[in-house]
Amino acid sequence: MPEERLSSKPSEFEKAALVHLNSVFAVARRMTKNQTDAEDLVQETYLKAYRFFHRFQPGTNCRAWLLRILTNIFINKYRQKAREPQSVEFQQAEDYRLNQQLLAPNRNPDPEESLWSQVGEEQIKKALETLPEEFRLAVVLCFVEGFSYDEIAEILGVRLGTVKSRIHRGRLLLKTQLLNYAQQMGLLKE
Amino acid sequence: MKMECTEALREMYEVSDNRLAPQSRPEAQIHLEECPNCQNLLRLDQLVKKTVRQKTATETVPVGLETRIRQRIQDLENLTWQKKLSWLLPGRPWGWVSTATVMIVTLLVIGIWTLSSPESGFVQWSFEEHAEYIREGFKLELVSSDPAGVDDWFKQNIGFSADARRFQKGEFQLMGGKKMKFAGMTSALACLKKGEVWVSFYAVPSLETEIKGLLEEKIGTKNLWVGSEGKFNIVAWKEEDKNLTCSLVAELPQQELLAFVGLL
Repeated sequence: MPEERLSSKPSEFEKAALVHLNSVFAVARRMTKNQTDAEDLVQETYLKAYRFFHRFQPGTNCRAWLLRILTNIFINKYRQKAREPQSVEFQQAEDYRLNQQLLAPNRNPDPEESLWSQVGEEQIKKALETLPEEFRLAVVLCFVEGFSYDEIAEILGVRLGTVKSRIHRGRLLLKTQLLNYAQQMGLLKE
Repeated sequence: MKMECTEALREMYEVSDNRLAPQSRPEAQIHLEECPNCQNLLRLDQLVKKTVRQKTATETVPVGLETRIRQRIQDLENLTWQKKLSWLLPGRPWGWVSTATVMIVTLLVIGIWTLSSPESGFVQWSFEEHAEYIREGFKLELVSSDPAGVDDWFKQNIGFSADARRFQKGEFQLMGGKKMKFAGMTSALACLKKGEVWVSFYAVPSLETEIKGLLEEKIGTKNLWVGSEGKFNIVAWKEEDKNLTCSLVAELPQQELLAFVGLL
């Protein structure tokens, strides 16, 4: 009977893939902005991963492999139709202005630490959600999941240069957004 | 602050994102050492990154999600035993032989059945087939227009009752067309059950077979017809090049049934 061989697949899959559920769900939640879609996305990801588990090479990064599947499903199914036009012309000037502004409340010996400890989880999540989708994906994979640019390029299926510019632009937009929140909270002086 | 600051920072962000050695960007590194503003801004960037990671990396996984995933995987795992039946499919080494046998025997059975003989050769053939699966540990779920007759056959030939249940005329009417109305002779197409899933595979030997009452859907390159009957989902398709109409019925979510067909 091939029964034993069959039943070892779920346990191998459990050891390699199911252990990453927390991380996979967190990424899905950041991608979809919505709890139900995130659950569906994660479930679909795991089922697809299970079906194609024979293609996973043991010893390679299973979390990256799962996230690649997740990204593919997301891009094909859940991604927003409306795309924001990309404008990078003012990026440097914007970065310059932003950096100056972030330095402005430089009154305490360690101003940033005290500033950022007051920005709450919900605001950070909201700030991430305001990022256009492709910047958001790249920033989440880099900031939250700690993948290198090479790994992100592979997960998203785009060129390294594209990853670089998306992360740079995304980080700029994220900081702008967080700065807005900080200003609304009165943590920054104009 | 100068433009070269912006450029140096951009490079240093890449260094920190990729955990590279700072020496890999010597110019930016030199600039940084001489520029307190950039040092502050780089520290700030790392602080933002840290804050974002700390405040978003953990997300409470909804209660039940893991269980649901495990259950769906278990369902899929239950499905894989169907591959045991896949040698019956056209195109497999024994496929043509088995299909031809099914065709011939089916036609025989139709003939014999209309002459009102429930103990037909096809029924016997099919039961022997199923007896094999039972010896391999599968649970057999039999539907028959003559459950008592089926049970008797099992007691005599295998040594226990098959607990057949009565097959209602037209119960699976949706599944087939004119020639597969499941009006009685289909008791031979009893179903195997493992876990909570039971599946049966049919091949109807003609493209002319009409598929009634099902919605047409194009999935991949296949034209499929889908429908449901009670808790069973049904999918039917035509193998143009093989002049066959096939259908599959299972107590499974339609998506999974379709996935299975897609993998066939």
